[in-house]
Amino acid sequence: MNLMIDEKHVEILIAGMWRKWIEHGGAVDGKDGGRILGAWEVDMRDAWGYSSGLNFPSFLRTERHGGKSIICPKLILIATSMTSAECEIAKLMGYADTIIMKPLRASMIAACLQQVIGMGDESQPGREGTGNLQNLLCGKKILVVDDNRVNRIVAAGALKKYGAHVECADSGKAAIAKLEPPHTFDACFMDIQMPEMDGFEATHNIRKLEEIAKESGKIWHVPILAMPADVIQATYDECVRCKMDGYVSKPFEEEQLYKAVSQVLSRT
Amino acid sequence: MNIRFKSRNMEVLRLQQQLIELTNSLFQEGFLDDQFTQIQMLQDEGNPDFVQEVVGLFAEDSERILSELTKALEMEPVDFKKVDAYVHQFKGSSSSIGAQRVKAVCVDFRAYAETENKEGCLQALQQIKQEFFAVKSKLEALLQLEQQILAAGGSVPMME
Repeated sequence: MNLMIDEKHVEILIAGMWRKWIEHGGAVDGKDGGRILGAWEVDMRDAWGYSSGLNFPSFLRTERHGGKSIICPKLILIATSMTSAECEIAKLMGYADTIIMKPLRASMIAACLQQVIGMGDESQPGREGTGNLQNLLCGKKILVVDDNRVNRIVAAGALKKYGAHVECADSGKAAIAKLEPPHTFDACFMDIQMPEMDGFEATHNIRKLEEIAKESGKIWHVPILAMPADVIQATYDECVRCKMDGYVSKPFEEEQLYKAVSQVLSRT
Repeated sequence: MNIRFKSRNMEVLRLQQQLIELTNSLFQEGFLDDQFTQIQMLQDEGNPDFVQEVVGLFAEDSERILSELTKALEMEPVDFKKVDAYVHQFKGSSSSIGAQRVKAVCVDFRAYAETENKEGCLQALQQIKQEFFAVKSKLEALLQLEQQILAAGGSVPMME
Protein backbone atom coordinates (compact mmCIF):
# COMPACT_ATOMS: atom_id res chain seq x y z
CA MET A 1 0.00 0.00 0.00
CA ASN A 2 1.34 3.40 -0.88
CA LEU A 3 0.22 6.58 0.67
CA MET A 4 0.69 10.30 0.21
CA ILE A 5 1.23 12.32 3.32
CA ASP A 6 1.92 16.02 2.92
CA GLU A 7 3.70 15.46 -0.39
CA LYS A 8 5.95 12.83 1.12
CA HIS A 9 5.65 9.45 -0.46
CA VAL A 10 5.48 6.70 2.09
CA GLU A 11 5.37 3.02 1.51
CA ILE A 12 3.42 1.05 4.03
CA LEU A 13 3.55 -2.68 4.48
CA ILE A 14 0.89 -4.49 6.36
CA ALA A 15 1.54 -7.52 8.51
CA GLY A 16 1.95 -10.75 6.62
CA MET A 17 3.64 -9.12 3.66
CA TRP A 18 7.09 -8.93 5.22
CA ARG A 19 8.46 -12.00 3.48
CA LYS A 20 7.40 -10.66 0.12
CA TRP A 21 8.87 -7.31 0.95
CA ILE A 22 12.20 -8.81 1.96
CA GLU A 23 12.25 -11.05 -1.12
CA HIS A 24 11.62 -8.10 -3.37
CA GLY A 25 14.48 -6.16 -1.98
CA GLY A 26 12.49 -3.96 0.34
CA ALA A 27 14.68 -1.70 2.35
CA VAL A 28 17.80 -3.49 1.13
CA ASP A 29 18.35 -0.79 -1.46
CA GLY A 30 17.97 1.63 1.35
CA LYS A 31 17.05 4.37 -1.02
CA ASP A 32 13.98 5.22 0.96
CA GLY A 33 14.79 3.32 4.09
CA GLY A 34 13.95 6.07 6.48
CA ARG A 35 10.48 6.42 5.21
CA ILE A 36 9.41 2.85 4.86
CA LEU A 37 6.95 1.90 7.46
CA GLY A 38 5.69 -1.41 8.64
CA ALA A 39 2.45 -2.06 10.39
CA TRP A 40 2.38 -5.26 12.33
CA GLU A 41 -0.40 -6.79 14.35
CA VAL A 42 0.70 -7.81 17.80
CA ASP A 43 -1.43 -10.92 17.91
CA MET A 44 -0.91 -12.00 14.35
CA ARG A 45 0.64 -15.37 13.71
CA ASP A 46 1.87 -16.37 10.32
CA ALA A 47 3.41 -19.25 8.45
CA TRP A 48 6.99 -18.06 8.94
CA GLY A 49 6.90 -18.44 12.65
CA TYR A 50 7.23 -14.82 13.70
CA SER A 51 4.83 -15.57 16.45
CA SER A 52 4.14 -12.02 17.33
CA GLY A 53 4.59 -8.50 16.08
CA LEU A 54 6.21 -7.85 19.43
CA ASN A 55 9.46 -9.62 18.64
CA PHE A 56 9.45 -8.87 14.95
CA PRO A 57 11.95 -6.00 15.24
CA SER A 58 14.59 -8.35 16.66
CA PHE A 59 13.93 -10.75 13.78
CA LEU A 60 14.35 -7.94 11.28
CA ARG A 61 17.63 -6.83 12.76
CA THR A 62 19.16 -10.27 12.45
CA GLU A 63 17.69 -11.27 9.10
CA ARG A 64 20.08 -11.05 6.18
CA HIS A 65 19.27 -10.95 2.56
CA GLY A 66 21.84 -11.43 -0.20
CA GLY A 67 24.64 -10.80 2.23
CA LYS A 68 23.41 -7.34 3.13
CA SER A 69 21.85 -6.50 6.39
CA ILE A 70 18.44 -5.04 6.26
CA ILE A 71 17.89 -1.45 7.10
CA CYS A 72 15.31 -1.46 9.80
CA PRO A 73 12.14 0.26 8.72
CA LYS A 74 10.01 2.34 11.01
CA LEU A 75 7.57 -0.03 12.64
CA ILE A 76 4.08 0.47 13.91
CA LEU A 77 2.47 -2.02 16.22
CA ILE A 78 -1.25 -2.60 15.93
CA ALA A 79 -2.97 -4.22 18.88
CA THR A 80 -6.44 -5.02 20.09
CA SER A 81 -5.43 -5.14 23.72
CA MET A 82 -2.11 -5.27 25.51
CA THR A 83 -1.05 -6.04 29.04
CA SER A 84 1.35 -3.67 30.73
CA ALA A 85 4.08 -6.32 30.41
CA GLU A 86 3.52 -6.45 26.66
CA CYS A 87 3.66 -2.66 26.55
CA GLU A 88 7.07 -2.81 28.23
CA ILE A 89 8.36 -5.36 25.73
CA ALA A 90 7.01 -3.32 22.85
CA LYS A 91 8.83 -0.24 24.08
CA LEU A 92 12.06 -2.21 24.54
CA MET A 93 11.68 -3.45 20.99
CA GLY A 94 11.65 0.10 19.80
CA TYR A 95 7.99 0.64 19.08
CA ALA A 96 8.24 3.69 21.36
CA ASP A 97 5.59 6.11 20.23
CA THR A 98 4.15 3.86 17.60
CA ILE A 99 1.54 1.62 19.10
CA ILE A 100 -1.96 1.96 17.71
CA MET A 101 -4.92 0.34 19.36
CA LYS A 102 -7.72 -1.06 17.26
CA PRO A 103 -10.23 -0.03 16.01
CA LEU A 104 -8.03 2.04 13.75
CA ARG A 105 -9.05 5.63 13.37
CA ALA A 106 -7.87 7.95 10.67
CA SER A 107 -6.90 10.67 13.17
CA MET A 108 -4.85 8.25 15.23
CA ILE A 109 -3.06 6.77 12.25
CA ALA A 110 -2.30 10.25 10.96
CA ALA A 111 -0.86 11.32 14.32
CA CYS A 112 1.21 8.17 14.53
CA LEU A 113 2.54 8.53 10.99
CA GLN A 114 3.46 12.16 11.61
CA GLN A 115 5.44 11.08 14.60
CA VAL A 116 7.19 8.22 12.83
CA ILE A 117 8.13 10.21 9.79
CA GLY A 118 9.17 13.08 11.97
CA MET A 119 7.18 15.74 10.26
CA GLY A 120 6.55 17.48 13.51
CA ASP A 121 3.37 19.30 14.20
CA GLU A 122 3.93 22.70 12.62
CA SER A 123 1.16 22.13 10.14
CA GLN A 124 -1.39 21.26 12.78
CA PRO A 125 -0.39 22.62 16.14
CA GLY A 126 -1.67 20.60 19.04
CA ARG A 127 -2.55 17.56 17.00
CA GLU A 128 0.57 15.55 17.65
CA GLY A 129 -0.76 14.25 20.93
CA THR A 130 -3.44 11.86 19.78
CA GLY A 131 -1.12 8.99 18.94
CA ASN A 132 0.62 9.41 22.26
CA LEU A 133 -2.45 8.67 24.31
CA GLN A 134 -1.69 5.00 23.71
CA ASN A 135 1.69 5.41 25.32
CA LEU A 136 0.37 7.28 28.28
CA LEU A 137 -2.60 5.05 28.99
CA CYS A 138 -1.55 1.62 27.78
CA GLY A 139 -1.53 -0.82 30.70
CA LYS A 140 -2.48 1.85 33.25
CA LYS A 141 -5.15 1.13 35.83
CA ILE A 142 -7.77 3.85 35.83
CA LEU A 143 -10.81 4.45 38.02
CA VAL A 144 -13.85 6.15 36.46
CA VAL A 145 -16.30 7.67 38.93
CA ASP A 146 -19.73 8.76 37.71
CA ASP A 147 -23.24 8.19 39.03
CA ASN A 148 -24.64 8.12 35.49
CA ARG A 149 -24.06 4.69 33.99
CA VAL A 150 -24.27 5.87 30.36
CA ASN A 151 -21.50 8.38 31.07
CA ARG A 152 -19.56 5.72 32.93
CA ILE A 153 -19.62 3.13 30.17
CA VAL A 154 -18.75 5.71 27.48
CA ALA A 155 -15.83 7.17 29.45
CA ALA A 156 -14.56 3.68 30.34
CA GLY A 157 -14.87 2.59 26.69
CA ALA A 158 -12.83 5.57 25.50
CA LEU A 159 -10.03 4.91 28.01
CA LYS A 160 -9.98 1.18 27.21
CA LYS A 161 -9.51 2.05 23.57
CA TYR A 162 -6.09 3.44 24.49
CA GLY A 163 -5.18 0.26 26.33
CA ALA A 164 -6.04 1.28 29.89
CA HIS A 165 -7.49 -1.15 32.40
CA VAL A 166 -10.62 0.52 33.67
CA GLU A 167 -12.62 0.04 36.83
CA CYS A 168 -15.75 2.00 37.67
CA ALA A 169 -17.39 3.41 40.76
CA ASP A 170 -20.90 4.85 40.85
CA SER A 171 -20.55 7.25 43.77
CA GLY A 172 -18.08 9.39 45.66
CA LYS A 173 -18.21 6.97 48.58
CA ALA A 174 -17.41 3.97 46.38
CA ALA A 175 -14.49 5.94 44.93
CA ILE A 176 -13.07 6.67 48.39
CA ALA A 177 -13.27 2.96 49.26
CA LYS A 178 -11.27 2.09 46.14
CA LEU A 179 -8.72 4.89 46.51
CA GLU A 180 -7.85 4.49 50.16
CA PRO A 181 -4.12 3.67 50.21
CA PRO A 182 -2.75 1.15 49.49
CA HIS A 183 -4.24 0.64 46.04
CA THR A 184 -2.95 0.01 42.52
CA PHE A 185 -4.69 2.75 40.55
CA ASP A 186 -2.59 5.04 38.36
CA ALA A 187 -5.26 7.73 37.99
CA CYS A 188 -8.91 8.57 38.55
CA PHE A 189 -11.48 10.40 36.43
CA MET A 190 -14.07 11.96 38.73
CA ASP A 191 -17.52 13.32 37.94
CA ILE A 192 -18.35 16.56 39.77
CA GLN A 193 -22.09 16.65 40.33
CA MET A 194 -23.19 13.46 42.06
CA PRO A 195 -25.92 12.87 44.64
CA GLU A 196 -24.91 12.46 48.31
CA MET A 197 -21.25 13.34 47.79
CA ASP A 198 -19.93 15.39 44.90
CA GLY A 199 -16.57 14.97 43.22
CA PHE A 200 -14.95 17.81 45.16
CA GLU A 201 -15.89 16.33 48.50
CA ALA A 202 -14.83 12.83 47.45
CA THR A 203 -11.44 14.21 46.37
CA HIS A 204 -11.09 16.07 49.64
CA ASN A 205 -11.69 12.83 51.54
CA ILE A 206 -9.26 10.86 49.39
CA ARG A 207 -6.55 13.49 50.00
CA LYS A 208 -7.22 13.24 53.74
CA LEU A 209 -6.72 9.47 53.60
CA GLU A 210 -3.49 10.02 51.68
CA GLU A 211 -2.30 12.41 54.41
CA ILE A 212 -2.95 9.73 57.00
CA ALA A 213 -1.06 7.16 54.91
CA LYS A 214 1.86 9.59 54.66
CA GLU A 215 2.29 9.53 58.42
CA SER A 216 3.13 5.86 58.19
CA GLY A 217 5.95 6.68 55.82
CA LYS A 218 4.75 6.27 52.26
CA ILE A 219 3.76 9.10 49.96
CA TRP A 220 0.50 8.57 48.13
CA HIS A 221 -1.00 10.88 45.55
CA VAL A 222 -3.35 9.45 42.99
CA PRO A 223 -3.89 11.90 40.12
CA ILE A 224 -7.56 12.86 40.09
CA LEU A 225 -8.92 14.47 36.94
CA ALA A 226 -12.28 16.20 37.16
CA MET A 227 -14.81 15.20 34.55
CA PRO A 228 -17.35 18.05 34.56
CA ALA A 229 -20.24 18.13 32.11
CA ASP A 230 -19.60 21.78 31.28
CA VAL A 231 -17.59 24.83 32.28
CA ILE A 232 -20.49 26.14 34.34
CA GLN A 233 -20.19 23.14 36.61
CA ALA A 234 -16.53 23.56 37.40
CA THR A 235 -13.61 25.63 36.21
CA TYR A 236 -10.01 24.49 36.13
CA ASP A 237 -9.14 26.76 39.05
CA GLU A 238 -11.90 25.33 41.17
CA CYS A 239 -10.72 21.79 40.47
CA VAL A 240 -7.14 22.63 41.40
CA ARG A 241 -8.26 24.42 44.53
CA CYS A 242 -10.03 21.23 45.56
CA LYS A 243 -6.76 19.31 45.14
CA MET A 244 -7.67 17.73 41.86
CA ASP A 245 -4.86 17.46 39.32
CA GLY A 246 -6.65 18.49 36.16
CA TYR A 247 -9.76 18.73 34.17
CA VAL A 248 -11.28 16.96 31.16
CA SER A 249 -14.84 17.80 30.20
CA LYS A 250 -17.02 14.94 29.08
CA PRO A 251 -17.70 13.41 26.68
CA PHE A 252 -13.93 13.21 26.16
CA GLU A 253 -12.33 15.00 23.27
CA GLU A 254 -9.02 13.44 22.23
CA GLU A 255 -6.86 16.55 22.31
CA GLN A 256 -8.10 17.72 25.68
CA LEU A 257 -7.78 14.22 27.09
CA TYR A 258 -4.17 14.07 25.95
CA LYS A 259 -3.29 17.44 27.44
CA ALA A 260 -4.75 16.52 30.81
CA VAL A 261 -3.39 12.98 30.92
CA SER A 262 0.11 13.93 29.82
CA GLN A 263 0.40 16.30 32.76
CA VAL A 264 -0.33 13.64 35.34
CA LEU A 265 0.91 10.39 33.84
CA SER A 266 4.45 9.94 32.71
CA ARG A 267 5.56 7.37 30.21
CA THR A 268 7.00 4.23 31.66
CA MET B 1 -25.92 -21.74 -6.37
CA ASN B 2 -24.39 -18.83 -8.16
CA ILE B 3 -27.69 -17.09 -8.61
CA ARG B 4 -28.59 -17.58 -4.99
CA PHE B 5 -25.26 -16.14 -3.95
CA LYS B 6 -25.83 -13.17 -6.21
CA SER B 7 -29.28 -12.41 -4.86
CA ARG B 8 -27.92 -12.61 -1.35
CA ASN B 9 -25.25 -10.15 -2.29
CA MET B 10 -27.85 -7.81 -3.73
CA GLU B 11 -29.75 -7.99 -0.46
CA VAL B 12 -26.64 -7.01 1.50
CA LEU B 13 -25.98 -4.10 -0.84
CA ARG B 14 -29.56 -2.91 -0.51
CA LEU B 15 -29.40 -3.07 3.30
CA GLN B 16 -26.03 -1.33 3.37
CA GLN B 17 -27.42 1.43 1.19
CA GLN B 18 -30.37 1.82 3.57
CA LEU B 19 -28.06 1.99 6.54
CA ILE B 20 -25.94 4.70 4.96
CA GLU B 21 -29.02 6.74 4.09
CA LEU B 22 -30.47 6.39 7.58
CA THR B 23 -27.18 7.32 9.24
CA ASN B 24 -26.75 10.35 7.01
CA SER B 25 -30.28 11.55 7.72
CA LEU B 26 -29.75 11.16 11.46
CA PHE B 27 -26.75 13.47 11.31
CA GLN B 28 -28.27 15.89 8.83
CA GLU B 29 -31.45 16.29 10.83
CA GLY B 30 -29.39 16.85 13.96
CA PHE B 31 -30.64 13.83 15.90
CA LEU B 32 -27.06 12.71 16.41
CA ASP B 33 -23.74 14.50 16.59
CA ASP B 34 -20.12 13.43 16.30
CA GLN B 35 -20.13 11.85 19.75
CA PHE B 36 -22.25 9.01 18.37
CA THR B 37 -19.59 8.37 15.74
CA GLN B 38 -17.04 8.22 18.56
CA ILE B 39 -19.13 5.54 20.26
CA GLN B 40 -19.35 3.54 17.05
CA MET B 41 -15.55 3.72 16.88
CA LEU B 42 -15.26 2.19 20.32
CA GLN B 43 -16.92 -0.98 19.10
CA ASP B 44 -14.48 -3.68 18.03
CA GLU B 45 -13.88 -7.45 18.27
CA GLY B 46 -13.15 -7.18 21.97
CA ASN B 47 -16.35 -5.23 22.49
CA PRO B 48 -18.69 -6.29 19.67
CA ASP B 49 -21.99 -5.06 21.16
CA PHE B 50 -20.79 -1.77 22.59
CA VAL B 51 -23.17 0.49 20.62
CA GLN B 52 -26.16 -1.70 21.42
CA GLU B 53 -25.19 -1.73 25.08
CA VAL B 54 -24.86 2.05 25.26
CA VAL B 55 -28.12 2.61 23.36
CA GLY B 56 -29.91 0.10 25.62
CA LEU B 57 -28.69 1.76 28.83
CA PHE B 58 -29.51 5.18 27.46
CA ALA B 59 -33.08 4.13 26.58
CA GLU B 60 -33.64 2.43 29.94
CA ASP B 61 -32.28 5.33 32.00
CA SER B 62 -34.10 7.93 29.92
CA GLU B 63 -37.46 6.23 30.30
CA ARG B 64 -36.96 6.01 34.05
CA ILE B 65 -35.97 9.69 34.23
CA LEU B 66 -38.96 10.71 32.09
CA SER B 67 -41.41 8.96 34.38
CA GLU B 68 -39.73 10.49 37.46
CA LEU B 69 -39.88 13.93 35.86
CA THR B 70 -43.56 13.49 35.02
CA LYS B 71 -44.26 12.53 38.64
CA ALA B 72 -42.14 15.36 40.05
CA LEU B 73 -43.97 17.97 37.97
CA GLU B 74 -47.37 16.66 39.11
CA MET B 75 -46.46 17.30 42.75
CA GLU B 76 -47.69 20.40 44.50
CA PRO B 77 -45.51 22.30 45.21
CA VAL B 78 -42.95 21.21 42.62
CA ASP B 79 -39.50 20.38 43.99
CA PHE B 80 -37.49 22.21 41.32
CA LYS B 81 -34.16 21.07 42.78
CA LYS B 82 -35.22 17.49 42.16
CA VAL B 83 -36.42 18.32 38.66
CA ASP B 84 -33.11 19.97 37.93
CA ALA B 85 -31.17 16.93 39.18
CA TYR B 86 -33.13 14.60 36.88
CA VAL B 87 -32.62 16.87 33.90
CA HIS B 88 -28.91 17.03 34.73
CA GLN B 89 -28.80 13.22 34.52
CA PHE B 90 -30.62 13.26 31.23
CA LYS B 91 -28.33 15.91 29.82
CA GLY B 92 -25.27 13.89 30.80
CA SER B 93 -26.37 10.66 29.15
CA SER B 94 -27.76 12.34 26.01
CA SER B 95 -24.50 14.19 25.55
CA SER B 96 -22.48 11.00 26.13
CA ILE B 97 -24.40 9.19 23.42
CA GLY B 98 -24.51 12.18 21.05
CA ALA B 99 -28.30 12.65 21.08
CA GLN B 100 -27.90 16.31 20.38
CA ARG B 101 -31.54 17.35 20.06
CA VAL B 102 -32.42 15.78 23.41
CA LYS B 103 -29.42 17.51 24.95
CA ALA B 104 -30.52 20.88 23.54
CA VAL B 105 -33.96 20.57 25.15
CA CYS B 106 -32.26 19.61 28.45
CA VAL B 107 -30.41 22.93 28.44
CA ASP B 108 -33.71 24.89 28.15
CA PHE B 109 -35.35 22.58 30.66
CA ARG B 110 -32.70 23.30 33.29
CA ALA B 111 -33.11 27.04 32.77
CA TYR B 112 -36.86 26.68 33.46
CA ALA B 113 -36.17 24.56 36.54
CA GLU B 114 -33.68 27.09 37.89
CA THR B 115 -36.16 29.95 37.51
CA GLU B 116 -38.89 27.70 38.94
CA ASN B 117 -41.02 28.19 35.84
CA LYS B 118 -43.53 25.37 35.98
CA GLU B 119 -45.19 26.14 32.64
CA GLY B 120 -41.82 26.15 30.93
CA CYS B 121 -40.88 22.88 32.60
CA LEU B 122 -44.10 21.18 31.46
CA GLN B 123 -43.56 22.39 27.93
CA ALA B 124 -39.94 21.21 27.97
CA LEU B 125 -41.07 17.83 29.30
CA GLN B 126 -43.40 17.33 26.34
CA GLN B 127 -40.68 18.40 23.95
CA ILE B 128 -38.07 16.17 25.51
CA LYS B 129 -40.39 13.16 25.36
CA GLN B 130 -40.97 13.80 21.69
CA GLU B 131 -37.25 14.15 20.95
CA PHE B 132 -36.28 11.15 23.03
CA PHE B 133 -38.78 8.74 21.48
CA ALA B 134 -37.86 10.00 18.01
CA VAL B 135 -34.12 9.39 18.47
CA LYS B 136 -34.78 6.10 20.26
CA SER B 137 -36.79 4.65 17.39
CA LYS B 138 -34.22 5.88 14.86
CA LEU B 139 -31.39 4.27 16.85
CA GLU B 140 -33.32 1.03 17.09
CA ALA B 141 -33.89 1.06 13.34
CA LEU B 142 -30.18 1.65 12.83
CA LEU B 143 -29.17 -1.26 15.05
CA GLN B 144 -31.75 -3.52 13.45
CA LEU B 145 -30.38 -2.76 9.99
CA GLU B 146 -26.89 -3.57 11.20
CA GLN B 147 -28.13 -6.90 12.54
CA GLN B 148 -29.86 -7.68 9.25
CA ILE B 149 -26.68 -6.91 7.30
CA LEU B 150 -24.63 -9.20 9.54
CA ALA B 151 -27.27 -11.94 9.33
CA ALA B 152 -27.18 -11.69 5.53
CA GLY B 153 -23.42 -12.24 5.66
CA GLY B 154 -22.41 -8.64 4.93
CA SER B 155 -20.30 -6.21 6.90
CA VAL B 156 -21.44 -2.94 8.39
CA PRO B 157 -20.05 0.03 6.47
CA MET B 158 -18.06 2.40 8.69
CA MET B 159 -18.55 6.09 8.26
CA GLU B 160 -16.46 8.91 9.57
